[in-house]
Amino acid sequence: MNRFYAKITGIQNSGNLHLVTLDFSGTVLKMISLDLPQKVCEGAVAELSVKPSHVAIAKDFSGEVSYSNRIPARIEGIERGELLSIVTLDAGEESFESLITTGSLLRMELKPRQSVKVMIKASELSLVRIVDEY
Amino acid sequence: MIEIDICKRLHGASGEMDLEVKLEIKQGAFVALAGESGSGKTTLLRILAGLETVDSGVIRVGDKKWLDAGSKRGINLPPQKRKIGFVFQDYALFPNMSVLGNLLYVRKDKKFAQKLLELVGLSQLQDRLPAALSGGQKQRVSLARAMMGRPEILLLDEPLSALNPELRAKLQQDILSLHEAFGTTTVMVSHDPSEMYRLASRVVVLNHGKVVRNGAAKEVLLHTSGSQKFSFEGELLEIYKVDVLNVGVVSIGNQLVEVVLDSSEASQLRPGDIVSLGTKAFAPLVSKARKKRMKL
Repeated sequence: MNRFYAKITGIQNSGNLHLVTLDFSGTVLKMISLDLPQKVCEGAVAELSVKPSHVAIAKDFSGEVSYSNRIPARIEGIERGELLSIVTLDAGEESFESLITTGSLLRMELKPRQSVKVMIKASELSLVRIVDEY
Repeated sequence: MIEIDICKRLHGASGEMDLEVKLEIKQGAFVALAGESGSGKTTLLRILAGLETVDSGVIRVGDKKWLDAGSKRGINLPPQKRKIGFVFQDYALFPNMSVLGNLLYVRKDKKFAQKLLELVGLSQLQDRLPAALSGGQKQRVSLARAMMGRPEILLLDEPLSALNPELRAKLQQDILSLHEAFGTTTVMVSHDPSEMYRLASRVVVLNHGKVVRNGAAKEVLLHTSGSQKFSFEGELLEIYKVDVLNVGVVSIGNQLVEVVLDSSEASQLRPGDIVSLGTKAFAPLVSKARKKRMKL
Protein backbone atom coordinates (compact mmCIF):
# COMPACT_ATOMS: atom_id res chain seq x y z
CA MET A 1 0.00 0.00 0.00
CA ASN A 2 1.25 3.44 -0.83
CA ARG A 3 1.64 5.17 2.53
CA PHE A 4 2.82 8.73 2.93
CA TYR A 5 2.53 11.69 5.25
CA ALA A 6 1.07 15.14 4.70
CA LYS A 7 0.13 18.05 6.92
CA ILE A 8 -3.52 19.11 7.18
CA THR A 9 -3.92 22.76 6.17
CA GLY A 10 -7.70 23.04 5.92
CA ILE A 11 -10.98 21.21 6.47
CA GLN A 12 -14.25 22.14 4.76
CA ASN A 13 -17.51 20.35 5.34
CA SER A 14 -21.04 20.08 4.10
CA GLY A 15 -23.01 18.02 6.60
CA ASN A 16 -20.91 14.97 7.40
CA LEU A 17 -19.03 15.19 4.11
CA HIS A 18 -15.54 16.62 4.51
CA LEU A 19 -12.92 17.95 2.13
CA VAL A 20 -9.48 17.95 3.71
CA THR A 21 -6.65 20.01 2.19
CA LEU A 22 -3.12 18.83 2.89
CA ASP A 23 0.42 19.93 2.20
CA PHE A 24 2.70 17.26 0.80
CA SER A 25 6.17 18.80 0.54
CA GLY A 26 4.84 21.84 -1.30
CA THR A 27 2.14 20.09 -3.33
CA VAL A 28 -1.47 20.72 -2.33
CA LEU A 29 -3.48 17.53 -1.84
CA LYS A 30 -7.23 17.11 -1.44
CA MET A 31 -9.01 14.22 0.23
CA ILE A 32 -12.76 13.76 0.46
CA SER A 33 -14.37 11.66 3.16
CA LEU A 34 -17.60 11.15 5.13
CA ASP A 35 -17.28 11.55 8.93
CA LEU A 36 -13.68 12.14 10.01
CA PRO A 37 -12.01 10.73 13.12
CA GLN A 38 -12.02 13.27 15.96
CA LYS A 39 -8.28 13.83 15.93
CA VAL A 40 -8.34 15.33 12.45
CA CYS A 41 -7.61 19.03 12.75
CA GLU A 42 -5.62 21.75 11.01
CA GLY A 43 -1.88 21.42 11.64
CA ALA A 44 -2.04 17.67 12.34
CA VAL A 45 0.06 15.25 10.31
CA ALA A 46 -1.92 12.55 8.56
CA GLU A 47 -0.79 9.22 7.23
CA LEU A 48 -2.46 8.75 3.86
CA SER A 49 -2.77 5.77 1.60
CA VAL A 50 -3.89 4.93 -1.88
CA LYS A 51 -4.10 1.61 -3.71
CA PRO A 52 -1.57 1.36 -6.58
CA SER A 53 -4.46 0.62 -8.96
CA HIS A 54 -5.86 4.09 -8.14
CA VAL A 55 -2.65 5.90 -9.00
CA ALA A 56 -2.56 7.25 -12.56
CA ILE A 57 0.56 8.50 -14.34
CA ALA A 58 0.68 11.45 -16.74
CA LYS A 59 3.64 12.25 -18.95
CA ASP A 60 4.21 15.51 -20.87
CA PHE A 61 0.78 16.47 -19.73
CA SER A 62 -0.95 19.65 -20.84
CA GLY A 63 -4.54 20.73 -20.44
CA GLU A 64 -6.91 20.38 -17.50
CA VAL A 65 -7.83 17.21 -15.68
CA SER A 66 -10.32 16.70 -12.85
CA TYR A 67 -7.86 14.79 -10.65
CA SER A 68 -7.42 17.00 -7.55
CA ASN A 69 -4.04 15.50 -6.70
CA ARG A 70 -1.21 15.94 -9.19
CA ILE A 71 2.16 15.19 -7.65
CA PRO A 72 5.46 15.70 -9.56
CA ALA A 73 7.48 12.46 -9.49
CA ARG A 74 10.29 10.57 -11.17
CA ILE A 75 10.10 6.99 -12.37
CA GLU A 76 12.31 4.81 -10.19
CA GLY A 77 11.69 1.37 -11.55
CA ILE A 78 9.34 -0.70 -13.67
CA GLU A 79 8.21 -4.30 -13.15
CA ARG A 80 6.73 -5.33 -16.44
CA GLY A 81 4.14 -8.09 -16.45
CA GLU A 82 2.25 -9.62 -19.34
CA LEU A 83 -0.93 -7.59 -18.83
CA LEU A 84 -0.17 -5.31 -15.91
CA SER A 85 2.94 -3.48 -14.81
CA ILE A 86 4.04 -1.84 -11.58
CA VAL A 87 5.74 1.51 -11.88
CA THR A 88 7.64 2.74 -8.83
CA LEU A 89 7.71 6.50 -8.57
CA ASP A 90 9.82 8.79 -6.45
CA ALA A 91 8.14 11.96 -5.15
CA GLY A 92 10.54 13.79 -2.89
CA GLU A 93 10.90 11.74 0.28
CA GLU A 94 8.12 9.32 -0.52
CA SER A 95 7.72 6.68 -3.15
CA PHE A 96 4.56 5.51 -4.85
CA GLU A 97 3.56 2.43 -6.75
CA SER A 98 1.25 2.68 -9.70
CA LEU A 99 -0.40 -0.33 -11.29
CA ILE A 100 -1.10 0.28 -14.96
CA THR A 101 -1.68 -1.90 -17.98
CA THR A 102 1.42 -2.97 -19.81
CA GLY A 103 -0.29 -1.51 -22.88
CA SER A 104 -0.21 1.96 -21.30
CA LEU A 105 3.39 1.46 -20.22
CA LEU A 106 4.38 0.75 -23.82
CA ARG A 107 2.16 3.40 -25.38
CA MET A 108 3.55 6.09 -23.06
CA GLU A 109 7.10 4.79 -23.48
CA LEU A 110 7.69 5.06 -19.74
CA LYS A 111 11.32 4.61 -18.73
CA PRO A 112 13.21 4.98 -15.46
CA ARG A 113 14.34 8.53 -14.54
CA GLN A 114 11.60 10.20 -16.60
CA SER A 115 9.70 13.03 -14.92
CA VAL A 116 5.95 12.43 -14.71
CA LYS A 117 2.91 13.45 -12.67
CA VAL A 118 1.24 11.09 -10.23
CA MET A 119 -2.53 11.60 -10.28
CA ILE A 120 -4.93 10.53 -7.57
CA LYS A 121 -8.62 11.38 -7.21
CA ALA A 122 -9.64 13.07 -3.95
CA SER A 123 -12.14 10.28 -3.26
CA GLU A 124 -9.50 7.58 -3.68
CA LEU A 125 -7.07 9.02 -1.20
CA SER A 126 -7.60 7.47 2.25
CA LEU A 127 -6.74 8.76 5.68
CA VAL A 128 -5.13 5.94 7.64
CA ARG A 129 -4.56 7.80 10.92
CA ILE A 130 -3.38 10.99 12.49
CA VAL A 131 0.26 10.72 13.48
CA ASP A 132 0.76 11.88 17.06
CA GLU A 133 4.48 12.34 16.84
CA TYR A 134 6.08 13.14 13.57
CA MET B 1 -32.97 9.57 34.94
CA ILE B 2 -32.20 5.93 35.70
CA GLU B 3 -28.95 5.40 37.52
CA ILE B 4 -27.40 1.97 37.63
CA ASP B 5 -24.22 1.29 39.58
CA ILE B 6 -23.99 -2.38 40.40
CA CYS B 7 -21.49 -5.13 41.00
CA LYS B 8 -22.05 -8.87 40.96
CA ARG B 9 -19.71 -11.82 40.73
CA LEU B 10 -20.88 -14.27 38.09
CA HIS B 11 -19.91 -17.92 37.82
CA GLY B 12 -20.21 -18.55 34.14
CA ALA B 13 -19.12 -21.25 31.73
CA SER B 14 -15.82 -19.45 31.15
CA GLY B 15 -15.00 -19.08 34.86
CA GLU B 16 -15.64 -16.24 37.28
CA MET B 17 -16.38 -12.76 36.06
CA ASP B 18 -17.35 -9.52 37.77
CA LEU B 19 -20.32 -7.75 36.29
CA GLU B 20 -19.55 -4.12 37.04
CA VAL B 21 -21.88 -1.67 35.37
CA LYS B 22 -22.24 2.04 35.89
CA LEU B 23 -24.79 3.59 33.57
CA GLU B 24 -27.08 6.56 33.42
CA ILE B 25 -30.10 6.25 31.19
CA LYS B 26 -32.33 9.20 30.36
CA GLN B 27 -36.02 8.77 30.94
CA GLY B 28 -37.66 7.83 27.65
CA ALA B 29 -34.44 6.64 26.00
CA PHE B 30 -34.19 3.47 23.92
CA VAL B 31 -31.01 1.66 24.84
CA ALA B 32 -29.69 -1.42 23.10
CA LEU B 33 -27.44 -3.75 25.10
CA ALA B 34 -24.99 -5.59 22.90
CA GLY B 35 -22.00 -7.84 23.47
CA GLU B 36 -20.94 -11.44 23.06
CA SER B 37 -22.90 -14.15 24.82
CA GLY B 38 -21.73 -14.51 28.39
CA SER B 39 -20.86 -10.82 28.65
CA GLY B 40 -23.56 -10.19 31.27
CA LYS B 41 -26.34 -8.58 29.22
CA THR B 42 -29.19 -10.82 30.34
CA THR B 43 -27.99 -10.77 33.96
CA LEU B 44 -28.03 -6.98 33.91
CA LEU B 45 -31.59 -7.04 32.58
CA ARG B 46 -32.63 -9.51 35.30
CA ILE B 47 -30.99 -7.35 37.98
CA LEU B 48 -32.97 -4.35 36.69
CA ALA B 49 -36.12 -6.46 36.86
CA GLY B 50 -35.38 -7.59 40.42
CA LEU B 51 -35.04 -11.22 39.36
CA GLU B 52 -31.42 -11.37 40.54
CA THR B 53 -29.56 -9.96 43.50
CA VAL B 54 -26.28 -8.05 43.43
CA ASP B 55 -23.20 -8.08 45.66
CA SER B 56 -23.24 -4.31 45.95
CA GLY B 57 -24.75 -1.35 44.22
CA VAL B 58 -27.61 1.02 43.69
CA ILE B 59 -30.40 1.34 41.15
CA ARG B 60 -32.29 4.61 41.23
CA VAL B 61 -35.23 5.33 38.96
CA GLY B 62 -36.22 9.00 39.09
CA ASP B 63 -36.21 9.83 42.77
CA LYS B 64 -36.98 6.26 43.86
CA LYS B 65 -34.43 3.70 44.94
CA TRP B 66 -35.21 0.25 43.57
CA LEU B 67 -32.05 -1.22 44.98
CA ASP B 68 -29.48 -0.19 47.53
CA ALA B 69 -27.40 -3.14 48.61
CA GLY B 70 -24.92 -0.94 50.47
CA SER B 71 -27.19 0.75 53.00
CA LYS B 72 -27.70 -0.79 56.45
CA ARG B 73 -31.31 -1.73 55.96
CA GLY B 74 -30.79 -2.60 52.36
CA ILE B 75 -33.41 -1.93 49.71
CA ASN B 76 -34.35 -4.46 47.07
CA LEU B 77 -37.80 -3.95 45.66
CA PRO B 78 -39.35 -7.20 44.47
CA PRO B 79 -40.14 -7.42 40.74
CA GLN B 80 -43.83 -6.67 41.22
CA LYS B 81 -43.02 -3.40 43.01
CA ARG B 82 -40.74 -2.22 40.22
CA LYS B 83 -42.59 -0.66 37.33
CA ILE B 84 -41.19 -2.91 34.63
CA GLY B 85 -42.40 -4.85 31.64
CA PHE B 86 -40.33 -7.84 30.57
CA VAL B 87 -40.37 -9.60 27.22
CA PHE B 88 -38.42 -12.83 26.87
CA GLN B 89 -37.22 -14.54 23.73
CA ASP B 90 -39.59 -17.49 24.30
CA TYR B 91 -42.81 -15.46 24.77
CA ALA B 92 -43.64 -16.93 28.23
CA LEU B 93 -47.41 -16.68 27.75
CA PHE B 94 -49.93 -18.52 29.92
CA PRO B 95 -51.07 -21.33 27.61
CA ASN B 96 -54.45 -21.79 29.28
CA MET B 97 -55.47 -18.14 28.98
CA SER B 98 -56.76 -16.33 25.93
CA VAL B 99 -54.78 -13.47 24.41
CA LEU B 100 -56.95 -10.99 26.29
CA GLY B 101 -56.72 -13.11 29.45
CA ASN B 102 -52.92 -12.97 29.32
CA LEU B 103 -53.11 -9.17 29.33
CA LEU B 104 -55.83 -8.95 31.99
CA TYR B 105 -53.77 -11.17 34.30
CA VAL B 106 -51.42 -8.22 34.74
CA ARG B 107 -54.12 -5.65 35.36
CA LYS B 108 -57.90 -5.79 35.16
CA ASP B 109 -58.36 -3.02 32.63
CA LYS B 110 -60.14 -4.37 29.60
CA LYS B 111 -60.27 -1.04 27.80
CA PHE B 112 -56.52 -0.53 28.05
CA ALA B 113 -55.84 -4.15 27.08
CA GLN B 114 -57.94 -3.75 23.94
CA LYS B 115 -56.15 -0.51 23.09
CA LEU B 116 -52.81 -2.30 23.34
CA LEU B 117 -54.01 -5.22 21.22
CA GLU B 118 -55.16 -2.73 18.62
CA LEU B 119 -51.73 -1.05 18.65
CA VAL B 120 -50.05 -4.36 17.85
CA GLY B 121 -52.75 -5.36 15.37
CA LEU B 122 -54.21 -8.30 17.31
CA SER B 123 -57.73 -7.08 18.11
CA GLN B 124 -59.25 -9.84 16.00
CA LEU B 125 -57.39 -12.57 17.88
CA GLN B 126 -58.13 -11.53 21.46
CA ASP B 127 -60.12 -14.68 22.31
CA ARG B 128 -57.61 -17.18 20.90
CA LEU B 129 -55.35 -19.33 23.01
CA PRO B 130 -51.58 -18.83 22.54
CA ALA B 131 -51.25 -22.27 20.92
CA ALA B 132 -53.34 -21.01 18.01
CA LEU B 133 -50.97 -18.12 17.30
CA SER B 134 -47.86 -17.85 15.13
CA GLY B 135 -44.48 -16.96 16.67
CA GLY B 136 -44.76 -13.34 15.62
CA GLN B 137 -48.28 -13.06 17.02
CA LYS B 138 -47.24 -14.66 20.31
CA GLN B 139 -44.41 -12.17 20.68
CA ARG B 140 -46.81 -9.31 19.96
CA VAL B 141 -49.03 -10.59 22.78
CA SER B 142 -46.03 -10.66 25.15
CA LEU B 143 -45.18 -7.12 24.11
CA ALA B 144 -48.71 -5.90 24.74
CA ARG B 145 -48.78 -7.78 28.03
CA ALA B 146 -45.49 -6.19 29.09
CA MET B 147 -47.09 -2.76 28.55
CA MET B 148 -50.22 -3.57 30.63
CA GLY B 149 -48.65 -2.38 33.88
CA ARG B 150 -47.67 0.93 32.21
CA PRO B 151 -44.03 0.20 32.98
CA GLU B 152 -41.45 2.89 33.52
CA ILE B 153 -38.89 0.54 32.04
CA LEU B 154 -39.54 -1.99 29.31
CA LEU B 155 -36.94 -4.77 29.32
CA LEU B 156 -36.58 -6.83 26.16
CA ASP B 157 -34.28 -9.85 26.11
CA GLU B 158 -33.62 -10.61 22.46
CA PRO B 159 -37.36 -10.53 21.83
CA LEU B 160 -37.11 -11.07 18.08
CA SER B 161 -34.26 -13.52 17.73
CA ALA B 162 -36.57 -16.50 17.15
CA LEU B 163 -38.41 -14.79 14.30
CA ASN B 164 -37.64 -14.61 10.59
CA PRO B 165 -36.30 -11.33 9.11
CA GLU B 166 -39.62 -10.17 7.64
CA LEU B 167 -41.45 -10.62 10.92
CA ARG B 168 -38.61 -8.95 12.76
CA ALA B 169 -38.99 -5.79 10.73
CA LYS B 170 -42.71 -5.67 11.53
CA LEU B 171 -42.20 -6.34 15.24
CA GLN B 172 -39.42 -3.76 15.42
CA GLN B 173 -41.99 -1.24 14.28
CA ASP B 174 -44.44 -2.43 16.97
CA ILE B 175 -41.78 -2.11 19.66
CA LEU B 176 -40.93 1.39 18.52
CA SER B 177 -44.62 2.42 18.38
CA LEU B 178 -45.24 1.18 21.94
CA HIS B 179 -42.03 2.79 23.18
CA GLU B 180 -43.04 6.12 21.67
CA ALA B 181 -46.75 5.95 22.51
CA PHE B 182 -46.08 5.46 26.22
CA GLY B 183 -42.79 7.33 26.64
CA THR B 184 -41.34 4.23 28.29
CA THR B 185 -37.63 3.85 28.85
CA THR B 186 -36.66 0.73 26.93
CA VAL B 187 -33.63 -1.50 27.36
CA MET B 188 -33.27 -4.22 24.73
CA VAL B 189 -30.66 -6.95 24.46
CA SER B 190 -29.85 -7.44 20.79
CA HIS B 191 -27.24 -8.99 18.51
CA ASP B 192 -28.56 -7.48 15.32
CA PRO B 193 -26.84 -4.24 14.19
CA SER B 194 -29.67 -3.24 11.85
CA GLU B 195 -32.20 -3.71 14.64
CA MET B 196 -30.11 -1.59 17.02
CA TYR B 197 -29.59 1.10 14.39
CA ARG B 198 -33.32 1.27 13.64
CA LEU B 199 -34.56 1.29 17.23
CA ALA B 200 -31.98 2.46 19.70
CA SER B 201 -30.93 6.01 20.46
CA ARG B 202 -27.99 4.60 22.38
CA VAL B 203 -25.97 1.39 22.17
CA VAL B 204 -24.12 0.02 25.19
CA VAL B 205 -21.65 -2.79 24.55
CA LEU B 206 -20.69 -5.13 27.38
CA ASN B 207 -17.58 -7.24 27.35
CA HIS B 208 -16.70 -9.56 30.25
CA GLY B 209 -19.11 -7.73 32.50
CA LYS B 210 -17.83 -4.21 31.78
CA VAL B 211 -19.22 -1.44 29.60
CA VAL B 212 -16.73 -1.05 26.75
CA ARG B 213 -18.72 1.19 24.40
CA ASN B 214 -21.54 3.60 25.10
CA GLY B 215 -22.74 6.03 22.49
CA ALA B 216 -25.04 6.84 19.59
CA ALA B 217 -25.93 3.78 17.53
CA LYS B 218 -24.07 4.95 14.43
CA GLU B 219 -20.99 5.91 16.41
CA VAL B 220 -20.79 2.51 18.10
CA LEU B 221 -21.88 0.28 15.22
CA LEU B 222 -20.15 1.85 12.23
CA HIS B 223 -16.95 -0.05 11.47
CA THR B 224 -14.41 2.55 10.52
CA SER B 225 -10.69 2.94 10.42
CA GLY B 226 -9.44 6.39 9.48
CA SER B 227 -11.50 7.50 6.51
CA GLN B 228 -12.38 3.88 5.65
CA LYS B 229 -16.11 3.55 6.09
CA PHE B 230 -16.43 0.04 4.86
CA SER B 231 -14.52 -2.36 6.95
CA PHE B 232 -14.82 -6.05 7.68
CA GLU B 233 -12.75 -8.59 9.50
CA GLY B 234 -11.97 -11.91 7.98
CA GLU B 235 -9.44 -14.70 7.75
CA LEU B 236 -6.85 -14.65 5.02
CA LEU B 237 -6.92 -18.14 3.48
CA GLU B 238 -4.43 -17.86 0.65
CA ILE B 239 -2.27 -15.46 -1.31
CA TYR B 240 -1.55 -16.30 -4.92
CA LYS B 241 0.31 -14.45 -7.61
CA VAL B 242 -1.04 -13.73 -11.06
CA ASP B 243 0.94 -11.61 -13.50
CA VAL B 244 2.45 -8.85 -11.32
CA LEU B 245 -0.47 -9.01 -8.88
CA ASN B 246 -0.90 -10.68 -5.53
CA VAL B 247 -4.45 -11.82 -4.84
CA GLY B 248 -5.66 -12.63 -1.34
CA VAL B 249 -8.60 -14.96 -0.66
CA VAL B 250 -10.41 -13.87 2.49
CA SER B 251 -13.26 -15.55 4.30
CA ILE B 252 -15.75 -13.02 5.66
CA GLY B 253 -18.97 -14.16 7.32
CA ASN B 254 -20.01 -17.12 5.22
CA GLN B 255 -18.53 -15.82 1.99
CA LEU B 256 -15.15 -15.90 0.29
CA VAL B 257 -13.90 -12.74 -1.35
CA GLU B 258 -10.82 -12.03 -3.43
CA VAL B 259 -8.87 -8.81 -3.06
CA VAL B 260 -5.83 -7.51 -4.88
CA LEU B 261 -2.91 -6.97 -2.52
CA ASP B 262 0.02 -4.82 -3.39
CA SER B 263 3.54 -6.10 -2.77
CA SER B 264 3.98 -4.52 0.68
CA GLU B 265 0.62 -5.83 1.87
CA ALA B 266 1.38 -9.27 0.51
CA SER B 267 4.80 -9.40 2.16
CA GLN B 268 3.35 -8.59 5.60
CA LEU B 269 0.53 -11.12 5.51
CA ARG B 270 0.38 -14.89 5.91
CA PRO B 271 -2.51 -17.29 5.37
CA GLY B 272 -4.34 -17.71 8.68
CA ASP B 273 -3.95 -14.03 9.60
CA ILE B 274 -7.08 -12.21 10.71
CA VAL B 275 -7.23 -9.21 8.43
CA SER B 276 -9.34 -6.10 8.19
CA LEU B 277 -10.58 -5.25 4.70
CA GLY B 278 -11.50 -1.66 4.19
CA THR B 279 -12.37 0.77 1.50
CA LYS B 280 -13.72 4.28 1.45
CA ALA B 281 -17.46 4.84 1.31
CA PHE B 282 -17.02 5.96 -2.32
CA ALA B 283 -15.69 2.73 -3.76
CA PRO B 284 -18.28 -0.03 -3.24
CA LEU B 285 -20.85 -0.57 -5.97
CA VAL B 286 -24.31 -1.26 -4.60
CA SER B 287 -27.19 -3.05 -6.30
CA LYS B 288 -30.33 -4.75 -5.14
CA ALA B 289 -29.60 -8.36 -4.23
CA ARG B 290 -33.10 -9.61 -3.49
CA LYS B 291 -36.67 -8.43 -3.23
CA LYS B 292 -37.43 -5.80 -0.65
CA ARG B 293 -38.72 -6.95 2.70
CA MET B 294 -42.29 -8.19 2.58
CA LYS B 295 -44.84 -5.75 3.89
CA LEU B 296 -46.99 -7.45 6.53
